[in-house]
Amino acid sequence: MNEPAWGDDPPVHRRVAVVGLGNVLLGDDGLGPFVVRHFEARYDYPPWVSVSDLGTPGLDLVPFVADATALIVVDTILLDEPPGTLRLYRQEQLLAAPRGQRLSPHDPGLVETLQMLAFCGDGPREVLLVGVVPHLCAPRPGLSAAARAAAEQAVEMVAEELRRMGVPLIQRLQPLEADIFWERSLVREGEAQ
Amino acid sequence: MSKRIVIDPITRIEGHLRIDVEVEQGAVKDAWSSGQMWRGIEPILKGRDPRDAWLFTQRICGVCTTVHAITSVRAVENALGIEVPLNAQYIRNIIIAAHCLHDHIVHFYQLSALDWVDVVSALKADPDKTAALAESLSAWPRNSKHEMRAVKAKLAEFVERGQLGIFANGYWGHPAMKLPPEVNLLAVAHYLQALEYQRIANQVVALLGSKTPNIQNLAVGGVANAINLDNPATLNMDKLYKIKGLLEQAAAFVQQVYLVDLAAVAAMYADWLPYGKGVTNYLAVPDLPLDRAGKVFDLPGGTIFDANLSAVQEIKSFDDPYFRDNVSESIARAWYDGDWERHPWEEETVPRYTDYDPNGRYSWVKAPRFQGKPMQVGPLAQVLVGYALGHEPIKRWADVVLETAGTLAKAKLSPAILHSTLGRHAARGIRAAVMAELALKHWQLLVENIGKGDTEIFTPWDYPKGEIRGFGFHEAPRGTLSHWVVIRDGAIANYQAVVPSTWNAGPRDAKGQKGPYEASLVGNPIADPERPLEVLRTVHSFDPCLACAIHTLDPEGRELARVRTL
Repeated sequence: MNEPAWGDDPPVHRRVAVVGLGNVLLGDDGLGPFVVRHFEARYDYPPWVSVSDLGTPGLDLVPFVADATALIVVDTILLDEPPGTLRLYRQEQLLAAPRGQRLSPHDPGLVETLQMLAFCGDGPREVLLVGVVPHLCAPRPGLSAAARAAAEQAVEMVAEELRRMGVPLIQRLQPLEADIFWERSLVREGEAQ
Repeated sequence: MSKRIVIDPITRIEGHLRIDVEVEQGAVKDAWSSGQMWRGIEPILKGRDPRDAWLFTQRICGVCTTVHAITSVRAVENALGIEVPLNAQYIRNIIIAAHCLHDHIVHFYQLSALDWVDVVSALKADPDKTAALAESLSAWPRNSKHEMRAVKAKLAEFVERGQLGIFANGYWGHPAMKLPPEVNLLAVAHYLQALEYQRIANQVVALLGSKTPNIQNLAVGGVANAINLDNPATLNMDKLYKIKGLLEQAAAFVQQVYLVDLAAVAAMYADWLPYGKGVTNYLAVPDLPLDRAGKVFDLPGGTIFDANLSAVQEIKSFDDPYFRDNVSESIARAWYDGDWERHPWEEETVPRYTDYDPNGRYSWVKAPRFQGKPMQVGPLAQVLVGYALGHEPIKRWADVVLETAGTLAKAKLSPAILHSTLGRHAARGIRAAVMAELALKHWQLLVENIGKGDTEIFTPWDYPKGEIRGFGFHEAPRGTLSHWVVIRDGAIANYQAVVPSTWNAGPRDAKGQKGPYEASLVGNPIADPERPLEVLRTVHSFDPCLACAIHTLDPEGRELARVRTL
């Protein structure tokens, strides 16, 4: 798939969504939010690209994905590979995976969102998953060394895929400071707001 | 002979609720509800700045972000003893109402309708008859023959191509599925429309919260939405009218589609009305404050014990000692160190995992109690409390649902049927209809207040030295949510969140009293133990949310949860 997802669509119809998924309070599960916030700090991109840290939205993913022509998801993945392993998945691989029984209504996630949108005739035409195998997802904010190293590569992988799609990116000469509030030290300095 | 059914998430992806039921002679004899993952979020907050607490608590759960953010700022404001400006109350209230509309619509259509609707059966429907039926029930303009034919064609194409993925987890052809094909087709049509309207409701949250799902506009003491009607970068008339238009669209869907579908499902599953009652002690808190201090509200709160509506006791303010002094949590049957039942300010969260033992400890969920009693929380609790207190909009919309369902079922339905699995669904729809109305009312209040020249959005404050304590509550889509904070010299010394799904999914306590999920499952019929649809119906009716604390994707598709019969 080397053609941009929007084919010959005029620019006004292009919309690319980059979303980071995961729980920032649970160690490496916060990788997705960490990567997209660093991407935002490092690159400038056109207004038709949206970059969002969505946490763990379940089906609340729908509003962010429905209008996008192309979607890049960054998340941790379950895989029997060493922590920090980085993988790129494409739409066909994601949709081919079998699904199990729902128990909690909040089980649905990315795959269900995409299938649902496909049924409505909406949804992105190109979907990529940038996935990293986590080391530890336990209740303590902050990434492990393995995940942090992979996060660096993941930021560049997102940039590379966007460029491949034809998105003009500008690397900031002076990167902004990424707001990783969950890694902030305990008590803030200064006055009450 | 009895048989044990276990519905158990076997991977750590998302599913963290395990339900065990003992089945004898085709019905549930006993049940156990177990949270399979330690949340342990509270210790993360210790030592942090209370101004940051809401940023962290809105990450507890990815679906309930907004509700934890709002409850957290209320708890810290309560500890500081500060009032917030009227504009801040109204803006928070509109966010609360819009988020609730989004959440209730998604819950019914996308998350639980398939427990009652057989999608495959919809293929046998006559679309013209479907449209005729729909038009006889509601004035909704999108129930036409054209619309129903198009949905049926789309569904047929999907089935033919083997792409029924979204519906792949349904129990097609299960003996407990009873809707006629036309009603199933109507439900599929509205399932698709619901996707549009939940997005519309979500746009309101995004416009005011600046981002969703994790809103950015809160502050301890108010909101960060600068108001200047002439400035394109702030909250201005253009944005306000956009919000009004979106709320009106969501309200029309709730009142003309969601509520009518609920009445139809309840009427056609009238045989299910006796099931799922469970715990009939109810707790709801007041919400949508109309004043700065939180003493006057548009949504009522209170307690009901043993289904006795005439003895309802009201919860009257953000500082009401009746709520503050009566909440406790028991860990007698949960995997924590000790066997105490304590007030949230006095709790500690020290995990101590032992094996799953239904006669001993079997859950990570604590067992919250009010005056030592298990309580059911959620839309049903609020609707019953409101009904008992004579709250006009709740009574009016409840009567609409009961009358519509009664006409279809050809029976007189009284509010007593609401103590049930279907009653929880009906109450959620009633609450959504009330919320839709109140969202527009609070929009009006905000616009009028700004019109008077009031643009205040924030109350300045300072930390006192020494120790202060506070609590904040919010009637969230899944029910009563409370946060409890102890602040010492400007840093968090203790923080506890007592969440709706803890009230409902909690285990037994030291006295052996069952939690609401457990009690509501007892007596449910089980037609086929290999496919326990009935268990899912009752558990889903609570809108459980234990599952969203962690979210690792499984791109190679392993089993999400499985059903085992022993």
